[in-house]
Parts: sequence; C-alpha cells; structure tokens
Amino acid sequence: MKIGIIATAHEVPRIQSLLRYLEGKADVHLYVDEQGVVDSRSTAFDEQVIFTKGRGYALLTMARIAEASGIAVVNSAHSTWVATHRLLASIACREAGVRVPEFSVGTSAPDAFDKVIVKNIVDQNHLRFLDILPIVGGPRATIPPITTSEEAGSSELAPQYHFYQRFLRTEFEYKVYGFGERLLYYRQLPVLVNPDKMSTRVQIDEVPELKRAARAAMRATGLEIASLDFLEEDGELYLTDVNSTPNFNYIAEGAQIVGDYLLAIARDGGRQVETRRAPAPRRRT
Amino acid sequence: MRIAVLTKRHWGFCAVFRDLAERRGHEVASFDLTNLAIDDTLGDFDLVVLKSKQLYFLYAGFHAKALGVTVVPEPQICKQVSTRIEMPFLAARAGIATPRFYFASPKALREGLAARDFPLVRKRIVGSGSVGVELISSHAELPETTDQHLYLEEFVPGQHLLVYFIEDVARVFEKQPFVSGRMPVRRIGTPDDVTSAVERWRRVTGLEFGHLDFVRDNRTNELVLVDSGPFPQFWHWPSAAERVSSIVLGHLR
Repeated sequence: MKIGIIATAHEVPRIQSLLRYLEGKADVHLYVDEQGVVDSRSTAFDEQVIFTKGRGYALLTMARIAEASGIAVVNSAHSTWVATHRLLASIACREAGVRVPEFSVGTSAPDAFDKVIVKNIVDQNHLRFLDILPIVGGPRATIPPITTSEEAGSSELAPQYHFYQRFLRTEFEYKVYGFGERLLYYRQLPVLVNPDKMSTRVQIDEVPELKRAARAAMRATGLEIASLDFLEEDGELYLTDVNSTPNFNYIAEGAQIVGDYLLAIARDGGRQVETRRAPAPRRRT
Repeated sequence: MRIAVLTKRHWGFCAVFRDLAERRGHEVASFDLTNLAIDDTLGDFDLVVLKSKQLYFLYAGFHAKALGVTVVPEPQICKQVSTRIEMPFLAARAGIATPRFYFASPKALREGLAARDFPLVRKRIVGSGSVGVELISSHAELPETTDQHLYLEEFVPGQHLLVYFIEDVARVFEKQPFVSGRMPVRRIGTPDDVTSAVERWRRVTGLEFGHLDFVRDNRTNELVLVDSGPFPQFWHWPSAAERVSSIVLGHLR
C-alpha cells in the first residue's frame, strides 16, 4: 500500500508520530510544500491515498493534481480551502443547520453585534500576525490593516477587511476531533481565558448535540479529518472555528487513529470521499 | 426588485447596467471595497451581480447565494475561472490546453528549475488586466526574498488572441502580449478552433459570457489558454454591455 502525505514545513514536526506509526504498514512518501516545485507537467502521484496537512497554495495545487488523477485526498483541496476561509466555513455550516455565532466580513464591526471577536480573513495561524489576533472589541471596532491572503489581490483596501464574529460569553469551550465517522469530545477553559488550552482540557463523553453539529459541519465543508471548536452561551452550543489541520498529537493514540483511517482507505483501493459516505442533507435548497 | 452590483468600477458595464435596470423599474445598489459589508443584509436583494472576481466580492456572492439570492455569475465557477492554480483543471475538463506551470517558493524554484526552463511568465494567483505579469528570463530575475510562493508559467511564443463571448457569439481580437485588454487591438475573424474551444468552455463552466486569452503557439499552431475571466469589461465590443445587462436581468425571477 502507498500513502502520500503533503505537508507544509510548519506541520512536518507534528506528523512524525504518524510517520512512525505507518512505518512497516505502508510505503509512505512525504511531500513538503516549501521544498519541492509543483510542476503541472511532471508532478504526479501513484499512492492510493494522499493525506494533506497544512493550508499552503502549493499544497492545495498538489492535492488538486492528485484528485484529478482519481486519488483519494484527505482532506480534499476544496474542503481545506473552505475551512481556511472563515467566512465560507461559517456560511457552509450555517446552511447545513449548524448554529454559528452571527458573523460578517468588512472594515468595521457591525453595530448589531454588541461585542465582537475579530479574526483574520484567512486562517493561516502559523503566520506572523497570530500575535495580534484575535482581538475582542466593541461595536464598530476597527483594527489596523494586517497582511491578508494573496487571493485578496493587490487593492490597498484589502488588508482593512476582517472577519467579525459575535462574542459569546461562555464558561467552557468544547473541542470535537473528527476522523471520518469517529468523534472525540473535549472540554476546556476558553483560550481567551487561559491561553494554555491543554492545561484545562479534559476528555468528555459523547454529547448528542455536539455529535450532530460536528457531523453536519464536516459534511458541509467536506472535511474528513477536522477539529471543531464550540462555545456554549445560554445553554446553546455554537460552532466558532473549523480547523482542517488538527494537531492529532493532543489526543491519546491520535497518530494511530489517523494512520488507521488512511490505511483503511488505501486498503479499500482509495475510493473518493463522495463514495465513502452519503451526501450531506441540506437545510435550504 | 432590488439588485446589488459588486464591482471595482462604477463606469463602463456598471453604468449601462444601472441605467437599463432602473429604466425597467428596479432598484440598484453598487458596492465596492469602500462600502462592502458581507453580512446577512445581502439577503435583502433579489439579485447580486458579481462583476468583480476579487476575493471579498466572491465572499459576498457565496454569502448571498447561501441566503437564497440569485447570484450571476455563479460564485464557485467565478472562483475556479479566476484562480490561476484552479483554472487549468477546469480547462482540462474542457479539452483546452494550458501552459506548463511551476508553483513553489522562490528558493525551491531557484534550486529546482534548470536554465532551459526559462523564459517563464510570472503571474499573480488572482489577477486581471495583465497586472503583475512579467517575463522572467533567467534564475537571476527570480525575486530574491519573498515569503509568497511564485506562480510561473511556460512562455508560449505566438499570436495573442483576446476572445470575448456572449452566449453563442464570440469576437476575437489580436493583442500585444503582457498588456491590458483595454489597449488597442485588431479584430480578426473567429477561427474554427476558437469557436470549438469557446463552446466547450461554456459547456463546462455554464457561463453565459466571459473572456478567454489564448496564445496560438507558433511552434505547434495549438491554441493555449493563458487567462480567463467570468465577467470582462468587453472593451472593443460596442453594445456588449447592453446585451450582457439584459442577460443578467433575465435571471430575476
């Protein structure tokens, strides 16, 4: 069996545990976003399944090349792109019936939100501007321009746009890790209360509402491996973040879970995700 | 009916569209990056016209569509047509050749490309009007330092053809390489292979109008698609704006 892993350099240390687990079980080839040249004529893959770990444009292009050759890609280029663009992930999840906080993209926070959390348009949390975001502000909050996605073009106004999400007053943050149909549930203090998230994180039993929302969000975005952040306000759970590149090392036997998921797909001949699960129900038509 | 036009420019097509729509009794609001807010107020419109392919206008198109609003052209197709690293996959489905491309960090390109791979054409991932397009003749001309990956395309020598299409009618103009489509061009007849390529492109994308930039490779005579757009200004095609405006307004239910 052959498994390919396309990763950004930032993610390479995080996948060492997966590489060790797969050793002897599959022939694994690692492609690093920043190290190789994507060549539309000669870049080719012969693996049964490709695992993507990261969000770079070269990574997405390699994933598209693999998909065009009929290879199963986990997570797909499109699902990673959607998850990376916060607005699009919020739109897709809300459309699938998942409760998300009110959101907008613009140059200032909407009046109606009272208090907001400001995030960068594109989730590239390994980039240098992490230290200034997120910011919590009041109505019509504005923040200085920041580096934004190259996709936003060269307009001088582009960096003034941010993603605004209504701020939720919450006691706990819930995190759901999804690996295909398998979900794992955790609770922790909100990162804004205690940035050392792992110090308060505990695994919890299945929560039916989290299960329903996580499954719907993963289907809506197309993600097969994800972590999903939920906050609880007035007894209601809200999905606040969708992450296409979860750090599975935070989970006991995380590398084994991911490895077994990839091995199962490879063993099955690398069927595309569409045939591995039923289409997602849509709330609106 | 309420119509939102998402645009970088309020003249040209947008002025013609507004005039026609208002004469038909519709209310038109224009949004550019100085006044665009992407939120649920987009649901107040009956039609959103996605004139620009800039990311935030695309966002607005996706948002409006999810709110049940008719969006023209379709946002997902706009994204695929406009994004340099996605368009070749769409073109392949339409049986249209595209140049070989390289995409990597400057360091990886310096190490991975051979002298024989040059000259190459550097382009932005998303761009229009030849903005940011430059010829890179050798390793020495690659940018020294940047944290952005570079998209480089094989330079295809040959005749540059600017093709506009509106439904099943195409107009072809010969243009100079690496200059904006608004610069002087020379209208020529529509070759059969261009007609065929436009038909396949329309079938794959579902677009009712748009533009395609081809180079006819003077080594092989093959048509090579080097750029595409879902909503051009239709420079050099008098009356196109009126025709496109009517098509767009035809989407109002």
